[in-house]
Amino acid sequence: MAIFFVLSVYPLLRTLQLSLQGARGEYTLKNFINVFTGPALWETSRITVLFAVISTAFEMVIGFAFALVLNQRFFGRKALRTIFLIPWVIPTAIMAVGWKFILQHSYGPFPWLLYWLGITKEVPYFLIMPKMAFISLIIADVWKTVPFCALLLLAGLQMIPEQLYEAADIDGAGSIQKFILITLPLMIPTIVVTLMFRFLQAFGIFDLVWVLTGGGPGDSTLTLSVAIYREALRYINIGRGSAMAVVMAIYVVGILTVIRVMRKSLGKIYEAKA
Amino acid sequence: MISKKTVKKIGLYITVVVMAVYCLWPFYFLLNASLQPTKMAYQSPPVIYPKAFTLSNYINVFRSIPLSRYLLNSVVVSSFGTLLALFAGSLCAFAISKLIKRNKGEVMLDLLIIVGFFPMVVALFPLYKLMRSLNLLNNYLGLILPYAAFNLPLTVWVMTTHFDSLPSELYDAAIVDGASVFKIFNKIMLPLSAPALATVGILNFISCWNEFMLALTFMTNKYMYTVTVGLSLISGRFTFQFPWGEIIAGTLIVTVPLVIVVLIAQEKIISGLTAGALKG
Repeated sequence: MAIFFVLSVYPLLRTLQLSLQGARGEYTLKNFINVFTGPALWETSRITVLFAVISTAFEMVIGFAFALVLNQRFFGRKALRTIFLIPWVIPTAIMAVGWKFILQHSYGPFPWLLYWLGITKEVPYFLIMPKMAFISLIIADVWKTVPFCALLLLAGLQMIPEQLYEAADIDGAGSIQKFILITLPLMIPTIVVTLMFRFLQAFGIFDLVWVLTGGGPGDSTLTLSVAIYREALRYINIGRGSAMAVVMAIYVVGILTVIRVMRKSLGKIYEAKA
Repeated sequence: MISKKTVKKIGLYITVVVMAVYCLWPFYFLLNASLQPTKMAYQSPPVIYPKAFTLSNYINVFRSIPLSRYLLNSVVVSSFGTLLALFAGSLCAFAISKLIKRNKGEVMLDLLIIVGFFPMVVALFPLYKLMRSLNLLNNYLGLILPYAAFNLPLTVWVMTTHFDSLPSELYDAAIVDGASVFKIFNKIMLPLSAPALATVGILNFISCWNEFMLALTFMTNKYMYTVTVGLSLISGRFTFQFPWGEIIAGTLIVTVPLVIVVLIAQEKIISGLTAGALKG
């Protein structure tokens, strides 16, 4: 417990302190003023939020579809579940190296596949064009975490009592009706938790960006984590980096609060219904 | 006529195959590229089917970068980080579950979990300075300690739920018999917790093995790199003749142990993942 506090709570507080210090150790708000008035913070915030929202949205939808399939009975279900763990278990940094190869313009297979299949008119450039680099990050992130989302959602699906479906069958409900009236409402708590996990993870993404695009081209894929890292440990702008880190921490607290409120009000709706 | 049921079944299996392909297609291309002679990895358009076969990439990668050293580093920091987290975490969880007052324990647990949600980068620089002043940069301890700390929330969480599920009569009976708290922990609680410990242990190990940011920051000597850092930094070192074949061979070598872990322990991993995530 003591180690834990020294190694995680203390640095958090120290970051706050550093963000308030100027170059000679005096206390000042200059760092925050700098950070807030410059365009960089807002741009990276925008990129980070955009990345987190888009990738989480894709992951939830595809993950849910996959979870529904995994919830069926079929031969080889266990094997498929095992296969699903593989993208999750591979280090993001390592996989990013793999993606870097797969997405290469001239000899990477993926752009050529798109071209050969007639999906794009020419071989697309993935990592060197700003928009495409952003899309590359999303592809890589979605690929890696869809299976993870699917497994979490599957656990939620398996908690829905079978009797509900049987009762619905007797009442003559169709499968779409069953999905909307039983599955979806009962899955809301699981969905919220999975959403929270994924969103916060995507929000703090570092390794994928660092290895795959390095925040570039330009600063077009610079997420908050990468920006803070670069500021504090490469450019040694400690005050500025710490101020950005504090802003990021505030974002996270904000997200956590929103989720808390959401869960509370959801709970109330349930009680009202029951 | 084919019955409706058969059509449904065929549809289901097609979806299943699509899902498996979804998870595995990048590996096909990586495997393919790693098994071909280096110069073929530079053909444009790329050769996406196995045209020639060689294992030379797998041998050469050990020569061009100290991959075996990286593997050793990763094994050392991940195993000790995991063990330390398990040790500290189960003690912590035991205290929260059995020793201190309920509401106090819950506050501690909440605090742990909330801290666990913060992105690591927020605390990175002070941690870096701390490690520098303790002379722990480029030292295994410099990664083991923070890894243990960052895995503590999950460990404490899972272990607390586990200890809560053990009947407190066990604990009370042992007290009556005059056993000390540590004896109870050692002789009664730990043996009953082996499965839970194994589950968290596997998850911790994987998260240490996959960690990137701290390893990148604290290990600056290239012989101290862990596999994740070692392999991903190669990209920066070559400007011409980027040895893709070898790098990809390296990434696959690093992946193999993890896939084996998954194959052996998939039930445990899934139960641990869902327990850790869904009860929160």
